[in-house]
Parts: sequence; C-alpha cells; structure tokens
Amino acid sequence: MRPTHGPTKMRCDFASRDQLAAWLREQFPSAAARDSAVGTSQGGHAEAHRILAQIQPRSYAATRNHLDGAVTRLSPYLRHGVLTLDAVRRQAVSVAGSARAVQKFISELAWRDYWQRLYQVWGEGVWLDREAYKTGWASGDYSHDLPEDIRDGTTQLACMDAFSGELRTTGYLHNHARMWLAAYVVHWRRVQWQAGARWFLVHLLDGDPASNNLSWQWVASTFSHKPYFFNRENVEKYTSGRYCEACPARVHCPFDASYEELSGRLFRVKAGSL
Amino acid sequence: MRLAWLHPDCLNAAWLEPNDHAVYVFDDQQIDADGWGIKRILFVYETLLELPVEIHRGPTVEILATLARSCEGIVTVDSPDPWLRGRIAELRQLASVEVKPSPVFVELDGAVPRNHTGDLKRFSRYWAKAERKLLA
Repeated sequence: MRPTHGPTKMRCDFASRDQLAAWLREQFPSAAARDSAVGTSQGGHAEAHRILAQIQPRSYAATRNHLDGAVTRLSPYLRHGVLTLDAVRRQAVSVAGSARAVQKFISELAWRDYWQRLYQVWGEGVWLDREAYKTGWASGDYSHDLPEDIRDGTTQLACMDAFSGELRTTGYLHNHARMWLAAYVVHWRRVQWQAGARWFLVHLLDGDPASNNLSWQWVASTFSHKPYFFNRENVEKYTSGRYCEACPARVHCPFDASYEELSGRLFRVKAGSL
Repeated sequence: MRLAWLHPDCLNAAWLEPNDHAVYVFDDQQIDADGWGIKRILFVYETLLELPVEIHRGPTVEILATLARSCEGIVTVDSPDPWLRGRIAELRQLASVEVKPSPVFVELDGAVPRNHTGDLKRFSRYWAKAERKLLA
C-alpha cells in the first residue's frame, strides 16, 4: 500500500501539453522568469522510442556536420536516462548490420560516456578552467558576462542571431551550431566560456554540466590543445548558405577571412603554432 | 516495499521492482542551481507522467525521509552530479539507502579511479581503450 497523498504531491491530470505548460508556469514562476518557452522535444519514453526507431546511423558520418544532416536528436532522452547509450548503440548496430559500419556514430555516443567519467572525478570542477587558454590570452582577459545582444539574438549576424533564437525557443541546437556560437562568444567577443555554458544550460533540454561545460572548454582551449574557430566558408558550406544571403553583415562579416587571417586577429599566438 | 527515488539522471522504470513506491521530487533548490526553465521542467514532467511514479515538490531529503518511514529503505541510481551525491549522503544519515550503479556503456580495462582521471585526459586515449569493445 502506498503512503497517503501528502501536501507535496503534484497533479498528474492534464488534458494537453499546453495545459501542463501553463500550469507549470504558474507553479514555477522563477523558472518561468528564466525561460518560459516550451521547446520542441516532447518528453517521455514513447517519444524517445519513436525517434530511436527512425535513426539513420549509416548516413550519420557523412552528413552529421550539416545542419540538415542525419543527427538523431536523442540527446535529451540520453541526458535524463530515458534511454541508455547502450540501447542506442544496439539499435544503430541492428540497423546497420555491424558496429564497424557505424563507427563514427558509436564514437559520438562514447563522447557522452567520456564526459560523464570526467564529471564523476571532477564534480563541480567542470566549472573551472581545466587548463590555461592556448589563445595567448589569460583567463582574466575574458569578460564574465554574456553580452545582451548574444543572449537576445540582436548581434545583426544572421547566423548567430538564428542560433540564439533557436536555442531559446526550441531547447535544441545542432552540435555544429553550438560550436560556432560558442567560438563566437569566447573568441570573437572574448567572453569567459563559463558565461556561455551557463546560458546554454538554461535552455538546452540535453544540457548537463559535463557534456556542456567540457565541450565549451574544448572550444575555448581550456580542455584541448588549441582553440576551435571557424570562418564564413565553413558556415556557408554546412548551412547551404541559408544565413549569409540576407545577413545585415554580409559585406562586413567578421567570419569572412582565411583561418590564418582570423587566427592573427583573434589570438595572441602565431597562426602556425595553433 | 522500497521507496525508489527517481532523480533527473534516471527517468526510467527499468531498475524498479513491482512493489516499489517510486517518487520524483521537484526541488526548487536544484532547479534554481541548475538554471532550469519551463521547457526543461515540462520535458521531465511529461516523461514522469508515463512512469509509475508519484510526483512531489519540496526539499528532496525532507520529503524522501518522510515517505521512507513507511518503506523498507530507499533505493536510487548513482549519478556523477555533485548536488545529487550530496542529497544521497544526507539521506544516508536518516535512512537505509541502496545506490544502484548507473547503466554501463563500456567496461574499460584499468578503469578510471574515482579520485583522478588517470590517462583519460583526452578523448583519444579513452577511445583507444573503448573502441575495440564498442565496435566488436
């Protein structure tokens, strides 16, 4: 027999997702003040298994860097234990016929396992710079706060503003978009990665301090051998140019240069040493 | 009957037994500390509505300790999250707590000791150990 219902028990009778969301906004006003959007990924095991049944692990390696690539969007379900990494691996192997055929897909699952192992050891230490920046700048050279125009999506850079809006509205960003946005925050705007990581954690449905923070540190170079950055050609290639054509900054795009030129502009170390 | 505590890292019923009294607690301290907004709470809530679980709100340890009085101990799943680990440690002062290991993706030879990262300082070194087993 279950204990009688106490005053802390919450409702389970909702006629619709909208009704549940409206009730949650009333119940959790401080969370709603941070973020009142509902996102696009529906919670639950049924939805997780519906998506799992549709994964295309063979196409993943060749297309995953493109915003329209065969990514799974299973990450929120993995983050909350709705699905296990092993269940997704087994499904991928079953679809492809062999593990070797989906090596890249499996190695990307392994990144999450790797980050979790480090979190187990470092705990709150995932919020600390694991190493010095390799940009030639010291940690103190980076500002502490996320600029409002990035948070609000008003930088007038069409790609970055779109990523900011998608993050806040849907709770999801393609991994390549996360990397571009993180690199823009840290290297172009010279903001500490922690400010961006905190912002992502408010919005990403798959956000956890391990995968999120250590990925930000990988971009920043505080947990990698060199900083990650990109140029306009890279964004155009993997977005099919969808942002550049109508971008207010298309003729003075801060990303429109060779990697060598950008390295010279952004970092205090010689391009050849990166 | 055991009190089974589902927390944000283990929203599934695979580890529950038929007679478990399963609960999830929305704790404002955790929600504020982790910076969750409505879309995350909604995602978790929708997931819970599909599970045989009672949903509560309030201080995690206080609620679980109260509910545990009519149960034969508390069972939950391990997590690397420091906040959850802290609550588990507090619960252990008040009740019998069994912590089940979190699901294993790959067993590594020379697994990482809990107090340091061993030679897993870069993913490439982890992958060198994990690849053979994961691609078997």
